[in-house]
Amino acid sequence: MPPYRKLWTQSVVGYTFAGLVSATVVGATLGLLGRWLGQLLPREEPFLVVGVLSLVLVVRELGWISFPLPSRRRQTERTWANQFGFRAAAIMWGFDIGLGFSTWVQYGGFWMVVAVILAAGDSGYGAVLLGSYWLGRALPVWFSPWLLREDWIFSTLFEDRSAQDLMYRRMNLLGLAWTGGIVFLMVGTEGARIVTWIIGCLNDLGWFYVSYILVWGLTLVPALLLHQILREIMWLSQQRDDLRSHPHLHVPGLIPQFSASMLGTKKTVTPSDLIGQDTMLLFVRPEDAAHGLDKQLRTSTHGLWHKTSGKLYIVCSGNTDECRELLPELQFSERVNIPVLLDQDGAMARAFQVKSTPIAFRLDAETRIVGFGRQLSSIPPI
Amino acid sequence: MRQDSSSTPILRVSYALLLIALAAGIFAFRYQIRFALLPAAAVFGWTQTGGL
Repeated sequence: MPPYRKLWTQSVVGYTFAGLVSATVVGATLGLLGRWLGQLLPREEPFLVVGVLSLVLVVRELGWISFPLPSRRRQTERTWANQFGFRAAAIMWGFDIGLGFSTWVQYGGFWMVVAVILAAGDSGYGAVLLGSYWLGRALPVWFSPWLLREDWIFSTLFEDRSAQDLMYRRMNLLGLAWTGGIVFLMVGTEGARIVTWIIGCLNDLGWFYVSYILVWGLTLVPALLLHQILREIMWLSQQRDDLRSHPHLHVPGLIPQFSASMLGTKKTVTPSDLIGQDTMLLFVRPEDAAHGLDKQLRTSTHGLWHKTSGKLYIVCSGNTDECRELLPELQFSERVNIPVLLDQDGAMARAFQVKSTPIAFRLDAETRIVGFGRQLSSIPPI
Repeated sequence: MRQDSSSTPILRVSYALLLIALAAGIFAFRYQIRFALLPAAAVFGWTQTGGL
């Protein structure tokens, strides 16, 4: 058996079991929480509420309404593989993703599972239900050798995944419709009783309160729209400021001329060496590591390296020794050797009008700047 | 060369999983109604990004 296959098997088993542990613990906790909430709140058919929620989510998956799902917009750390080794990282990834609430939630199905567990108020059922969710989530990893294209690279993985979005949306839609139907059956009442219960609730509330809630609902829609408009304005304003501080970005075809020596070699790199393939230049300074950006830098370097299929150059504005010390912070893998261009007098940074670091410039195959970006937490101006 | 997205292995396995889940859901429904939600939960899990 090839060694990588053993490592793969151990990692996938560890990933699945670690996730199963965290998922069942979270499921059981949600069940207990549901039981506690059931004692606090009026126990007026919680499954009916869950059934209505499933209908709302079905309508969302149909695309008739749109709203963001509560979700933590964070990806599980890929750098754990470098820090802890692949096997340990797989276990940590499993545990983290198994928690359910710690990463992205794309479709409504996850929240339906949570809602059902809360409504049932049963920790055992909660553990089994969220455990099933996790096993479904870990299944693609088990199938990955057969699911992935033979020539796959990391970037095509997400292309393949996004190509299935419509299918996954439909699967969620069917799952939500199925869950909604089952949940309505779990209410244990006939349709007429449900309608009577809803009307009874409305009568208990009184029409004044109902209209009050409706008015608030109507106010919320323009408020959300206004919020979105303000966000767009802020984004546009930031883009305008960025373009002002980098006027050469307006003019395609203009790349500042430079000549930089490569750290650890006698080679000198000029723009003509970058012709022929999309390239990324990441400007850093030795001070970046001192400002606690080292971990972010390593993650950024990793991402940029993949984005350009390895055509990434780090431009270090500082003296040779300090740049050499910064190097381990940027090398995310022992097998990958990213070229570091020395910009000892900062002339190259000035030519690119770099105001703060780290900042990345993307060049096309003809060495024209086609994009740039900096970290929000980049350190003060040079 | 890019594969036709309508016949990728992920898609074929997804269809197979959906059919298995439906059969399991119907079977579980006859056994105990709340267990009919377990295959649906697995389908929800399958579609989340983190798995791949």
